[in-house]
Amino acid sequence: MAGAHIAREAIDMGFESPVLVAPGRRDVSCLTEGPRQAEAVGAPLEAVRVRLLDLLGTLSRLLGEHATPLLEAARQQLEQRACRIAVIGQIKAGKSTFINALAERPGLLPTDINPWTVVVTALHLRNAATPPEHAAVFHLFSVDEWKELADGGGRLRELTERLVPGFQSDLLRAQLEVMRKRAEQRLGPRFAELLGRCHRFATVTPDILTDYVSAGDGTSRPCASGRRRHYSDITRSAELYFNESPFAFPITLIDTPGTNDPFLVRDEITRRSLENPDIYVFVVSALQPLSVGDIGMLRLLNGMHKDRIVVFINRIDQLPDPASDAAAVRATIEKRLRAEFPTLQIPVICGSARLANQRLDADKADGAMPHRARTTATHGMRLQALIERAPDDGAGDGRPRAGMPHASCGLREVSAAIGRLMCTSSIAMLLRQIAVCLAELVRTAEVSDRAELEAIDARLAARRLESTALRQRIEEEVASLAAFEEHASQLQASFRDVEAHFKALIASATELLHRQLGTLVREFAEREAGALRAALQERPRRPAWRCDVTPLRLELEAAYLAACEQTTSDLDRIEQFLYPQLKLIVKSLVPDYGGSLLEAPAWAEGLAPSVAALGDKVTMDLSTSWWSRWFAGRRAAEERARHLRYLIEEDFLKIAVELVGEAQAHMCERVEYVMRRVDAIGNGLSAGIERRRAGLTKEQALLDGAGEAHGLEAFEAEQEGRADACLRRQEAHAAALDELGGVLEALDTAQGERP
Amino acid sequence: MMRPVALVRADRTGCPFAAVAGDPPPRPGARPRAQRIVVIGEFNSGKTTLVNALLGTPVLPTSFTRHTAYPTVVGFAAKPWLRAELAGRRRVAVPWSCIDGAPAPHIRRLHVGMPLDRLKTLRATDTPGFGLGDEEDEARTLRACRGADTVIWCTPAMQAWKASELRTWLALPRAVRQRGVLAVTFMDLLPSKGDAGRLLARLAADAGPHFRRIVTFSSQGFLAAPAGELA
Repeated sequence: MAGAHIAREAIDMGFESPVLVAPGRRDVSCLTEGPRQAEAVGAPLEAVRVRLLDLLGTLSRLLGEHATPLLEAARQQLEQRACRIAVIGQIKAGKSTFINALAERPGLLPTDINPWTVVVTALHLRNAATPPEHAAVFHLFSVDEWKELADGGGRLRELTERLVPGFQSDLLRAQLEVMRKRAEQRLGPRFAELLGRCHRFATVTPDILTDYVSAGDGTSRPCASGRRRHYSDITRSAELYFNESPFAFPITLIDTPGTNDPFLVRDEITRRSLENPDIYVFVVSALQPLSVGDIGMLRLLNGMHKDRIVVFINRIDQLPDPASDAAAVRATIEKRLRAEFPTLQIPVICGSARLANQRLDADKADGAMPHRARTTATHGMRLQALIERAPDDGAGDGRPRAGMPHASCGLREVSAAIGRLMCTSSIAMLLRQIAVCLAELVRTAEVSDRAELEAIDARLAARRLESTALRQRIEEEVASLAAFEEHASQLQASFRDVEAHFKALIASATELLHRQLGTLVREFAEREAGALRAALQERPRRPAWRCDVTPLRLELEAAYLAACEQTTSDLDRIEQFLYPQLKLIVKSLVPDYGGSLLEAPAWAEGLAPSVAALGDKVTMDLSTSWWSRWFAGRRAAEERARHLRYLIEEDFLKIAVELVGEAQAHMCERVEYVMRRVDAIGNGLSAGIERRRAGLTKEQALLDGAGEAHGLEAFEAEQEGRADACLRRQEAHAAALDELGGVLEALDTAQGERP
Repeated sequence: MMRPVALVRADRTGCPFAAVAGDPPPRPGARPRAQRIVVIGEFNSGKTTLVNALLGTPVLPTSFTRHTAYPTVVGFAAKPWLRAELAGRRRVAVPWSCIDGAPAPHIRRLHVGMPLDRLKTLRATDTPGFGLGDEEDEARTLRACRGADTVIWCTPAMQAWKASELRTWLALPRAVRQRGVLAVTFMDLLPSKGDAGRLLARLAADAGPHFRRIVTFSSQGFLAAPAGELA
């Protein structure tokens, strides 16, 4: 035990010092099984990823230096981007247990009867031959972050004070005091020196994880009672790395502290630290499924990620009669989801993460069957057989027996749902973009090769004429190349103009949207304040009145979407004007350019900008009891009206700013994509020019250099060689294009498989 | 620090309510007044099961999917009856299917009369749960708390004491909260005894200050009976 801490202390000293292996601890990573078979989750995308990576190797040889930056960027994306799956839900819903089951690592993340996970923990799972450099990396809060948190400053205090006036800010202060004292008690009075550090471990054990990500008992171990120290109070994030994964595609599973935690500090940490996952798994307990808070959270997600949500109803094993109750609970939830989100199709899956873990443990204990075989044939069946299997049933053939109730742990279904969602997620979009971009690169290279081939033919024809004619021919070509180059640079310049135009358009649209939304909020606030004044005149003591901000939300959403649509259609117009122009220019340079790059891209439906900000919790959403408090608190009617206006503007102007930022980011992303495609053409053309210029210079040198006859022969041989190279390249290009076509087809198929 | 009391045991002694309320036993000779107990909490937190346990017999139907629709007051009667309270405190007899059927908006409350000896010393009120987003229901539940001698807040052991529960509880009038008891339900679903101890330690620290006492409750042995059998 002590060894690990000494090792870690050593790492503390020197930030980048080599990692020391903690001896004497149970190594969790060694408990895992070998790589999984082909139909694991994300297999279609993984196949595409591998094919694209292979192609990158071929293309970097084929396309030469000019393409290297683009290819490198693509490689980086392919190698590093994982599908991020966030597991969210209320406290004690069973999120950590669920992740342990999904990652097929029972007992990895620590779980407890009390809310236990306090740190956002990311499990990076990918199949790789070499083990990761670090198995676990823990980032502690920086000095500033800790100060802001411990002082209850910033957004946290603002939020709690405004949301629940009076008591809860006292509560928060008390909680923060407890937290500060506990940190001091656990880590010693000089714990502040630890802030801003990063602790790395070569292996990860349950003990280490408990020390960094678990709440620990209220009656904490003082640091004197052993060498172990509890860091979770000051840990900001935890990253765990594994080189063996039950998923085919690289996956990052994110465990989060539960929402609805009476320890307000944790709730706030969760809200703050969730960054852009591709898929959400929303875990609810079957015993209390889908409360108002859950619906609110789903509404928030709905704004961000239209249909990338899976609802997992956990703990069905604790229902009085799992077989029939689970179906009833599921039906109720599906009905409520349909009522709340009529346009969404959220898969709802019942199961028990606890049973799934027990089963995984049992399998590990069996150990006889290799994992590969088990997952192919019996994975689903053994899960399904779990509940009906009597405890004394030693046979364990895993097949459901006739007449027994049919139920399952649900993990297989969740995996399948995740696999389906992945195929339409931003990951699939990214792969598609990369494939399209590569195809454009290849096509441009092909165009310049074809031009070169023609030039060679012409020169060889001229060879039959006199050498002076040849010389003249080369000179002509140098001149035409110069003209070509000028055109190309004009083209590049006009690209830049277009980009500037795009940017200007976005800036003015953003400005307009900002003004529009601000006006909406202010007008609404003014209107409501007026209504309040009127209500107070009517019944000064207890007005039967409360402010409903739903209309404002709807107005904002409508204005926002309309503005986005307007700008999008403006961009469309420019693009429709831009592409024919581009086509004209490129055609004048290379008459038979065949790339589809010059067609305006079709924008996918799912790319509408997010309205997530509108889901933000605001003061006005509070219950009747909040309003009665609010009325009790303030005296004069005018003051109340003013305060109401202040609250509305405070809450919604912030939301408006977020919406504007979102719209801007959304449009910039689109413009960047267009510019990337256009740059791919430009790069390809200039590379072709470079190559031809180099060729011409060489020819001229050959002609100038040696004796006339010898020079001509050498020249001819050189030309033949280059023509051959061109032809070989063309073959390779065709093969690469075929492969890319295949990749795009595979992506289409994967996407089409969705129900 | 307050010590949790196990309700199930209290049930066997025949007098669970003194244990719940923490009141001194009634003076000998004094005529016992029916104690009014109101059970509240979030949905599916085991309120109805607890009411049945208090009565010693499954009077009210329990379910994970059909939620209690109205505040339901169970009191003593020579023979079983069921009445619905409408606007203006008017009461009308209704069929037993009403207790378990689809909610009707004109019914304010249900009143159940039962010939149970326990009901001579106790009147128990079951309520619709919080957290389903029905403000009308929640307002009704809050009204039902007025005039209670003891208000029991149910929190399920597996997902105990969430921020939303704290918020709802603190929104109740102080006078109601001063008569509050926190019942930790579904204790039988906890995996181990050690877990129970650790859970109760947290609750004592986090929720303890807001209640007169904390009790634990295990639902085993109290099952729902179809409403028809009662009639």
